[in-house]
Amino acid sequence: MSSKKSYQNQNLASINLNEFQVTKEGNRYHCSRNALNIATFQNYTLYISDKPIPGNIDPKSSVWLDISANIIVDQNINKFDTLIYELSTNLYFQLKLNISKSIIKSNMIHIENENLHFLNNFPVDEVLYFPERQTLYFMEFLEKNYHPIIYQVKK
Amino acid sequence: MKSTILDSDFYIKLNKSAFGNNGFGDELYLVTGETSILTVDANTLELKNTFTPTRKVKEMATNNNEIFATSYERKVKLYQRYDFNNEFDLAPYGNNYGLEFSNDVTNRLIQIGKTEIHAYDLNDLGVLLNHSFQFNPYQTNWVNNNLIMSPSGKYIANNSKEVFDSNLNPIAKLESPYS
Repeated sequence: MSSKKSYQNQNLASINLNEFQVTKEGNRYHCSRNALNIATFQNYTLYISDKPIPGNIDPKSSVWLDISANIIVDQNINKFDTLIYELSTNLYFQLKLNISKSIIKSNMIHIENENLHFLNNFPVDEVLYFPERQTLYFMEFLEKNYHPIIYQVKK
Repeated sequence: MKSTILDSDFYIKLNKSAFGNNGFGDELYLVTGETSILTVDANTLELKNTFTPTRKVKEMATNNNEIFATSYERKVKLYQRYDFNNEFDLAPYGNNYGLEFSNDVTNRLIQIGKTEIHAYDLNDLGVLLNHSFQFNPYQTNWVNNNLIMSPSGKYIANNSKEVFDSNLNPIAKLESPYS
């Protein structure tokens, strides 16, 4: 029994998830990690959150406030894409590997979304785009009428 | 990145909008209440002009060459910018709704209805020089009031997902993968 435990500990120590990488292409995120070959592999979970992912999150839980979790049961899958319609300027990615009764965490990846802008609490009911000017014109619907607003974003 | 927000000081009952430069800078044209066309400075949102045509306006398009086309039900009218009394009536052809000017042929007005797609070639005063049409084989919807021209002018599509080429030939009726 003790020799089995020793074997598992040795095996866990050699598992390295720190090659976890995320790259962004539009709304699509390409996630990849180093290949695994673990006899006691159960699954791993990709967590995506707009806040740093807490260390004590339950990897078996797929429901967490503001966090999405994709559970992957095949350890041969080491590259995958995920499509995210961001509602945050910051996104955090982390893999958590579930092996028997142990959890191994990858490095946490932080990606800042520079293309996302929040409108400062004004409601938008109609959007017009003027391509020659690369400008958005918004309208809010107020008391049965539309009220035009220009919203310009410049680099 | 820096963002700026500019507020207008008017309220409208929006029916249709168009952008363009008809010789007076970049402008936003807004149809309000099916009765008036507002001309708004696209830089400042300052209201420059209000025009009330003799006929109701449901659809509107402009060609960056001082011609405005409007339609209400089956009737199309043409106006010249800031000489809006100069109206030209185009004959009604079938049940037509959506209006847009071609992006590759000067002064060509395209109109799509349920049963036909029409092209009107105009001179710079808006006088009709030539008219051609094709039958619409898809006949999806009586109300094809959102007409989109591809930037190259090669393709025309409407809110019924019907696609035509610039010679008015039907190309496809797009199907949603979710329906």
